[in-house]
Order: sequence, then C-alpha cells, then structure tokens
Amino acid sequence: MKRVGVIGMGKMGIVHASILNALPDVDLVAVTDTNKGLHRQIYSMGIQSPFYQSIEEMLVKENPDGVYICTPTSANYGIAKLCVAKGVSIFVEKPLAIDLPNATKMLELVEGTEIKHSIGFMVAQIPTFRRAKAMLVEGAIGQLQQVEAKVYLSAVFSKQRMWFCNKEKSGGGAIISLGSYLIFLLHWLFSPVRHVWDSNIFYTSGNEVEDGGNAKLELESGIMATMDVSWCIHGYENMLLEIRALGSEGELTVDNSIVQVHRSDGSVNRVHVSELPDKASFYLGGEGYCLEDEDFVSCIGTDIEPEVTWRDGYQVQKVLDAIYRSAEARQRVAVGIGER
Amino acid sequence: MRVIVNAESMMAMSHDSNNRAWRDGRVTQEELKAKVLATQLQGVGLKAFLCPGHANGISIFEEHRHAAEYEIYPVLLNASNYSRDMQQLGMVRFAWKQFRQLGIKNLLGIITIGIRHPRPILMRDFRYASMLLAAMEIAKFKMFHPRVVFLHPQITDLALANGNKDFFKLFANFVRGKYRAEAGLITNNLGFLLEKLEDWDIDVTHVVGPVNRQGYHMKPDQQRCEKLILNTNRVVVATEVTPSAIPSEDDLEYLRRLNISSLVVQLDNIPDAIKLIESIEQKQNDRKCVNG
Repeated sequence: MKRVGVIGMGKMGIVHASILNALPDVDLVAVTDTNKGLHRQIYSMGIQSPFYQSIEEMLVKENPDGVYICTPTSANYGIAKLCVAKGVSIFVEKPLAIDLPNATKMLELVEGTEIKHSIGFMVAQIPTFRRAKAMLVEGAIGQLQQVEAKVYLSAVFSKQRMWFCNKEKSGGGAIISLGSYLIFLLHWLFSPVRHVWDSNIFYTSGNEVEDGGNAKLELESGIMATMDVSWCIHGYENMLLEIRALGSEGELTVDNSIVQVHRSDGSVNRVHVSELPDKASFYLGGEGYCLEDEDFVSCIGTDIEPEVTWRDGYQVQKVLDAIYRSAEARQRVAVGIGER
Repeated sequence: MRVIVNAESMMAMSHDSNNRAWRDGRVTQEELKAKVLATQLQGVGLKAFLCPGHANGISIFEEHRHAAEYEIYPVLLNASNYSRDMQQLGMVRFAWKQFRQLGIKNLLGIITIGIRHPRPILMRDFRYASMLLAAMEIAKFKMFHPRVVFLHPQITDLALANGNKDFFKLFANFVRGKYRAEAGLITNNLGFLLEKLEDWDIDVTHVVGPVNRQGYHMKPDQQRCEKLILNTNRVVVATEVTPSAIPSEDDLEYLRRLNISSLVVQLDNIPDAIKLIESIEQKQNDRKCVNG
C-alpha cells in the first residue's frame, strides 16, 4: 500500500485525491491546503483524510511515500524542495515552473536522487495519442514533412481573479496552461523543438496574461510545426487538442477521441478511442488522469521511472520560454538559451 | 428499443469527434441551431432528451414547454459549467445570475432549503450546497414534469470515488421528496456504481452508463459489469453503445441480452437520426416476423 498526500485542494487537487481514493493499492494519508475554510467542503465530498494547513507538519506526521503538488505554479519549487529534503516522490501538475530558471532549479532538486518524479501531461496516457505514436513509429505516413498542432478551450472571456490569470502565480496564460500540452505532444510524438519564430501572443479578455497565440517551431529532425492556442474561443466547452502530421505517404490526424490516417494510395485507417485498450481502473474527468496517477504511484519505491518525468517538463519549459522570447523580440530564437 | 438523445451533443458540448462538423461550423447561433435540430428530431419521432440543467440546455426546449412535445430528463450539476461561470462572474454575480433565472415561487422554495440547513450551506458543505444548486436547476424544468432526474457523471463519479454514500442518499431523497420524480445517476464507472448502490441500499431507480460489445469503459471489467446489469432491479440505460451514430444489429442484440431496453445516443444531424430510427424500426419488425 503506497502512502500518498495531495497538496493544494483546488480543482486538480480534488481530481487527484478522488482518483487516489478509488485506487485499491493507495492510501490517501493527507490533504493539505493553506485555506482552512476548505476543510469542511473537502470532507463533505468524502475526502476524509487528515487535513493540514502546513506542508512541513504533514510531511513529518504522515510520512508519505509520495505527494501530488496541485498548487498555483509559483509554489511548485518551494514545496518540491521541502518534499525532496524528506525523500518523498513527487507528482507535480504541469507546467513544471513559472519560468525556465525555476524549472532548472526544480530539475536540479531531483536529478541524481532516488526520488521518483512525474508531471501532469496526462495526454501521454490518452489512448488515441498513444496509438498515433505507435503508428508514426511504424511509418504509417512515411517520412514526416510538416506538423500542425492546435488546442482550443472556451474558458476565459473576461477579467478574472483566478490564480491562472495572475502572471506572478502562473507565469503566463493560455500558452503556458494549454500550449504546454501541445509542446509536450510535439516533443513526445516527434522530436524536441530547436527553434521558434513568428510567435504572436494576443490579449483579449483584459487579464494580465495572454489569451492565446501561435508560433512556428522547428523540430530537431528539421521538420516545421505550427501551433495555435486559445482559451477564449467559443464552441469548445471541452478542450480540443488536435495534431495533424503530413508525411510523404499520407496524413495522420489525432485528437482525444479518434486517430485517422489517410494514405496517399487512398486508403483510410480510422480508429476510435472505444476500439483501443481501456486500461484505467477508474474514470474521472477522462482516463488520462487515472492512468497517470496509476503510473506514478506504481513507480514509487521501485527502480522504474514514471512514463513522463520532470525532464520532459523541463523540455517543455524551454520551448515555452523560447515562445515568449520570440514574441517579445519579434525574431527567430533558439530553444534553451541560458539553460543548465 | 427506446432512444434518448443527449442534448449536450446538439450544442457542441461534447469533445467527441463525431461533433466535429458542428464545432467547425462554429457560429454564435449554436443555440438556435440546437432548437431547430430538437424540433426536427421531434418531427422524426425522437422525443426523449437528456438535458443539461444550465440555461443553454433548457432554452432549446423552452418554447415548447406548453405543448409537452418532449420528454425531458434533466441532468443536474454540470460541475465544469459552474466552475466556468464562477471564474467568469465571481461568486456574487454567479449567485445573482442563478437567482435571476428563477421565478418568485421557485426562489421561495430554494430559500426554504437554505433556511432549513443554514449551517452546512454557509460552511459550503458540498452535499447541501449541491442540493441548493440542484434545486435551482430543477426549478427551471418544472414545466416539463420530468419523471426521472439524473445526476451529471462528473458529480456521480466524484462522489463514487470518495465513497460518499450520504450524498447519494441525500440526492435520492431530495428528488423524490421535493419533486416526486425518480432519482437517476449517470456514470462512467457503471459496475462500481451498481455494486455500491446495492451495498449502500440507495433508492436510485435508473442508472445510465457505458454498455457495449467491446467492453469500452465498462468498469471494472466487461464480465463483472454484465453480471451486475443482469442481477440489478434498477433500470440500466446504455451509453457509448457504438462509436458511430447508428448502432448495428449486433450492438442492439447485445443490449437485449442484458435486458437493456433504452439507449442514449449522440446525434447532431437529421440524416443520422432518420437512419437510426429506420434501423431500429426495421430490426424490431424483423424480430416480430421471426417470433411470429
């Protein structure tokens, strides 16, 4: 039985705590939030593990094997430092940090230690994206030539007080929040990003963080990709994440529910998510969250690395940093300048 | 086989790729389109709808409230929607928006709930706060006289994951006592839910969840789910029967073997609706012929 705690009881903290409660080999030993007023609310949801306001106290009293950090991004580094000092494995919600220097410090905390670390890019667990990856490896579209990536969500249309619209706490807006999924997918499905240019960022809702943007990216394989991000677009009550890859022998399109390959010879291979293996033991907010939790928890105390680690989070952070730099300088920039 | 249309799919609220055409043709008048679609669906014989409890969902059917052409099953407490509204408006404006949509009579009924349980509501107790929100939503459905009121899968599965027996009891009693309707639950963890409902002896008459030949989303596994479906006294309504809009004869036969006589479909166009009706009617006629 793995002893796990959740830090930060906002939306994602509640999702992870609930999934952990539903998993058979996990004991949710503590939930932590600085807002004491949340205790009653969380308890009445059925999350009845001991509630702490202090992370230090929780770590000492409950001695968890692993923790989930689901706080505003700016708090990630400080909390991770406390957990690493206690030798506790850490799952952190994406992005890794508010900026590249903090992401570097985060990665330095765990590199060379036995601590297991994972990050919430749950898209790596969505069956259609996994099938797309396998198809690309098998050469389903031949030699890759071009990639288009987009993520849309109808979420922010006016000025908001939420932490993710506060730059100091979040590090940025739609690009860092949603665009990070796309960057992760580009890196995971194809290859790391080398250069960024023509980066445009727009502000429409009156918040201090961006509401979307687009950019051109050059992958290490020399392939060009475009990305388009918006959280203020109507008609996308649920997040749409879509990748379209053009190859010498066809085209692959993938989103949360379907992966399709149209080959140059006219044949079409279409696979719906319901035709793919369904491995999550519980479904809450999509199978991705449950599968990433099962993966992380199963790695604690073993020699096995979680499928997605902070090294992936760090790669994504380098590209995020390059997108913001490119937008500001209005020029082509290299990814990872000033990196460790 | 009774067909229930999920009204969410008519309003681009689902992330399913089947709705791509609808979404890509995204216009601000999606609500108007949904109204037209609802009327057309009613015209071809599809009159039962699962309808989300927020304003956009109800507005599709509102104009027809006196004609009682539709059979509406409210789906209450779409947590994402509340979360989005609260983000956009803040707590005070959110509460005001909710209250504004209610008539005086409904408002008094809701205030009564608040007066009866002031402490848990002020302390933001999830169970009572949810009932207050449910009361606000259900008030908007009164004109349709719903027979069954369902709980949204996000909330059902959240409560299920955390073993929140009290919440399910409160919901069932609330729906039955206050609105004289049956309580139903929509879930993506059908087997787990059926087991727990038996263990906890919760009086929920209808359960909606994934049932299909492939075993997709049939938690914990297909075999256990089938056994539980066959042994339950509750009405099980199948969702996710097929990835396409039209279930095949094999799909329907699978449901019949499990004594399931209702299914929920995602429809966003009339040609599919007509094909679906023809397909089901044809299959029913074939069965009558075979059985003499």
